[in-house]
Amino acid sequence: MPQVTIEYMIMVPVMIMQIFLFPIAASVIMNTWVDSRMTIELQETAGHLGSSIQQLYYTMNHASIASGSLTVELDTPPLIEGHYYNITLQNATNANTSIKIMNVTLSLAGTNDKTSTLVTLGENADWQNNVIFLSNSTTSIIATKSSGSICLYFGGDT
Amino acid sequence: MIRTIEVLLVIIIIAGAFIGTSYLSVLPAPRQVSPINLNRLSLTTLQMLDSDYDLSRAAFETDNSTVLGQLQVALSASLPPNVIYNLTVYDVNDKEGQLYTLYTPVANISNAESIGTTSDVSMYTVASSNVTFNVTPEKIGEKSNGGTLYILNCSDANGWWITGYTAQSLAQDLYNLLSPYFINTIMVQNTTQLRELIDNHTISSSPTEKVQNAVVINTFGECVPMPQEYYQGQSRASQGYDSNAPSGYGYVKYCYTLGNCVFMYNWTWASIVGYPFYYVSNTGVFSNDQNGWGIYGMKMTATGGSRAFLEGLNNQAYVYNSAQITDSANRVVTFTQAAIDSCNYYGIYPSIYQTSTRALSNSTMSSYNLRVGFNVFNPSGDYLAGAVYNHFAIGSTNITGSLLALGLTRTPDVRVTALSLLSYYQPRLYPSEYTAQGTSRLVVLQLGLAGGS
Amino acid sequence: MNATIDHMVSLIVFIGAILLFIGLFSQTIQTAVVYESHKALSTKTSDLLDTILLNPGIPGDWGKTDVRPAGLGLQDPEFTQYQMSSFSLMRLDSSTGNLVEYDKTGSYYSNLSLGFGASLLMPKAQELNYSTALSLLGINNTYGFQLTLTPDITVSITETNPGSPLGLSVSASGTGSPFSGATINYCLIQVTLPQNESEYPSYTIQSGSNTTDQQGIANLTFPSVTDANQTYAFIAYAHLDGVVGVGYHTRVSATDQCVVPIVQSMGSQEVALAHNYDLNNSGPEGSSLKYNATFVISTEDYTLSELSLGNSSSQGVVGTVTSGVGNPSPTIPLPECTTGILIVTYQESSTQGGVVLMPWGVSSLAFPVTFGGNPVGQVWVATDIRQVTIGGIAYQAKLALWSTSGYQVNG
Repeated sequence: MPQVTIEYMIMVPVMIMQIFLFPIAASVIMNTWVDSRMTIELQETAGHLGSSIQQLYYTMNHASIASGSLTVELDTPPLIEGHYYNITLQNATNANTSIKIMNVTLSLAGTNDKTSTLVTLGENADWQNNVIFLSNSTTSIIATKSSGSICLYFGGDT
Repeated sequence: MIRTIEVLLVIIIIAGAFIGTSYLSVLPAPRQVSPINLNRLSLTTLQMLDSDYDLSRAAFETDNSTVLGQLQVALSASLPPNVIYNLTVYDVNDKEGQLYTLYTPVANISNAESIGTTSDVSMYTVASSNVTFNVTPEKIGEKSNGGTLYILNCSDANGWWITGYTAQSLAQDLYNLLSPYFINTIMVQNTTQLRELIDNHTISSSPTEKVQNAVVINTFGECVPMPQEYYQGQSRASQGYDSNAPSGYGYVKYCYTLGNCVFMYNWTWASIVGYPFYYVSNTGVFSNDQNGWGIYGMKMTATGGSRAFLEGLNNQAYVYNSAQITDSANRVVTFTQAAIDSCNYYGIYPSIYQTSTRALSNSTMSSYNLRVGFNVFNPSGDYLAGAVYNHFAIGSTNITGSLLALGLTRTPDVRVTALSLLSYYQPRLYPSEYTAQGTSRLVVLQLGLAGGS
Repeated sequence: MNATIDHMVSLIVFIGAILLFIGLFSQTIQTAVVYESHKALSTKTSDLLDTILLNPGIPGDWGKTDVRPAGLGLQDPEFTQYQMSSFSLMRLDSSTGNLVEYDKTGSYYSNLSLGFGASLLMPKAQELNYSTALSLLGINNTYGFQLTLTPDITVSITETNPGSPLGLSVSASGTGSPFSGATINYCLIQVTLPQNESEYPSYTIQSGSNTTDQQGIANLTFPSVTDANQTYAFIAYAHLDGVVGVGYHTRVSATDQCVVPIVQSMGSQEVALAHNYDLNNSGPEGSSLKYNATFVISTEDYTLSELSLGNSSSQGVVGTVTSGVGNPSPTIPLPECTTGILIVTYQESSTQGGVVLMPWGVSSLAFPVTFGGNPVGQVWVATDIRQVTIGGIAYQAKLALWSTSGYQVNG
């Protein structure tokens, strides 16, 4: 019968397509949501980390502190949506200026998500360039001041 | 038609799912999405209330309803009208025992019955008024490879124009006034140690002692201690004694050597009273000599001593020159405004009016490439009763030695010396955290926003 | 045939409905993502506010110089925590100030004045502008902000009786309530206009204290002021438990001429005394005013103490300022190390004159500061506030931040 043929020719493929379409659509929508959340949270973490580093530096740079070490516990999350992230400190200083600019780069492991933020510091700031720290084993920022120079680095569990 | 009806049923089902999802996924209120950082607002409010220690005072007068009322007025006036607060003062217990409670609430101020479902707190420790408050001064020379203060406290030398004091008592007073501002403050106990300094050797076991860029205060007034090696016939007589100098003023050569040390090591040499380098002293080698006024152990160099010092400071060849560098006019001089400001800042209050009879001639100092780095007193024409002079070699912008010359009449007020050095170097003072033992209270300020969750 | 049409219609409707609902669900997700961005914005706001308020900038004393800072910060380098530099705030290019041209130099100045009687004109060329600030903070092209610093306590003074005796009402109110029970320390600066042509105007200071009532009001009378035309300036400090506010009021004799102090350079602490006719070419040349300029600082007990300007024999600097490009304007040096108030008394004739106050450091007269862009019309603005102290005066610092890069859904 022709209408049965039409039915089988059109509706069955549509039905089979639905079996794949609904899960794919739901998956794409939720992935969009999760990816956006991860990116936003990564950016938020980078900004907060940069701000924390800058405040720690200026606290140590105050003339009332001649030398010593100050540790600040990080309140950033160790994992973002179950992924850890790599923290890299790079030197982005312009050769013509006396200030130093630190580029804090966060890259989410297992994804292509990457974000960075710039932190302006004084000329006596120092850090290990291009060394990678893992977020799930880094719980604090440490600043050590001696002979007027301030060294910034990450620390593990205290 | 049946297929169309089926599709419509599907649409109804999916639409129902969407409506259900929309109903359940309620968007949060803007206040929850972008909240104010109540923790920081609370902390900064507590800091501001304690800026004049009013919060500390109120925390220890919790029985005084007037004081608590004033605190509440200040809190209400400073916070935005939509902020609910709950301030609680806790006593910190130091008793031990099985039922030991660390904090006991003693007072509470609030402007609402309920703080709401969203709030944040910060805590602030206050101490009662009977605790010490420390100030941390910046260290002079810390960032410029210096930081050492030498105070001449030589037991084998005598002073002049310090009548009423001994050099040792002046040294102790200067130590008390100035040691907080230097990394190292070292008493030079005898002329042997002074000779070590002249040889650029450290004299203490401190690893941070630096001879270079040091400040050296001569507490012996118009006289300067002299190591015996510079005595006629001794090992360094060539650097300490000029046999051609007239009238027995041969030890002007030692003053030249000292000036050269100031140049080489970039010292700041402080002369606290009178005509600088008018005498040299060593109670060992000058035991039979007196200065003409009955003080033994010293030898006059007269006006040639300061000239020789300046020649050494200017790194020029030594030539005996007895021309005066001061006049003897009797002047009442006043501190410059900068020095007066420093009185308040450092808490040192000598009389603003001082008497000077040995003011140095600025034009004479200029001829030795010395420029005024800081005026302690207001100038009187060409004559400066007190100033810090910096030496600049011709064509150089670097300071190679300095002289603080206070041409005041005896007897010296060492507060003027301390104030002069502090006004010149301007180390900053930073108040530091104070600690209390057994007299601390904890203030907790909880903030919420009015209008529900 | 009917079955075919039925199938085709249902298929088309089905596919259309599916696409529509996928779109609708995506829309819901996008809205949630946008709200996530808003939440991140609030964290950024808090961090940025602390960044600005908790560092003195680079160099630390940039507020006292004319140099462009390499790092933006408003903390007072002499202090820690949330204590701001009164001088650094002067160097911010206010978004509420209008431009004034000084005819004698052709330079432009930002007018930060708050009503009549107190004047603060800053050189536009030396001000730190908004776009530079965005670059220094590293948020260029990503965020916009507006920073406002508002005194916690508003002290307003009204004249209740012009003379015989002079009556003033001082009203102190906080951001949330009246400032009741607060101590009011005041200084009445009475100006004397000499009859003698060769003499310059002078002033006397009368100090006192009072307490505000439950409504935050204190009524003061000055029996020594009997003349309803007496020129005076009145400064009042309201303080209670560490919270301090300042207010002022002036009365001048009827004249349209006045002296306007203009800051020439923060680095050399120079202030020029201008005739108001030389601002925006607002009057004829050749008009002269005698003046007497003095600098006062507020002491710990809220009295005014004079610091000498000029030579050591005189407290004030006296002279004449004449309008017109050909007549040079006098300049006076102010101290580098302290905030205070420049008081300039001026005289046009034996009966006409006035007094103008200029705060050296915005906190001296509790001037508010607004710096940055305009948040009106932005899609989403996050704000955060802090309590700060500027020169001993309690201020509230508020930062409004918005995104300028728009919101995107990645995927």
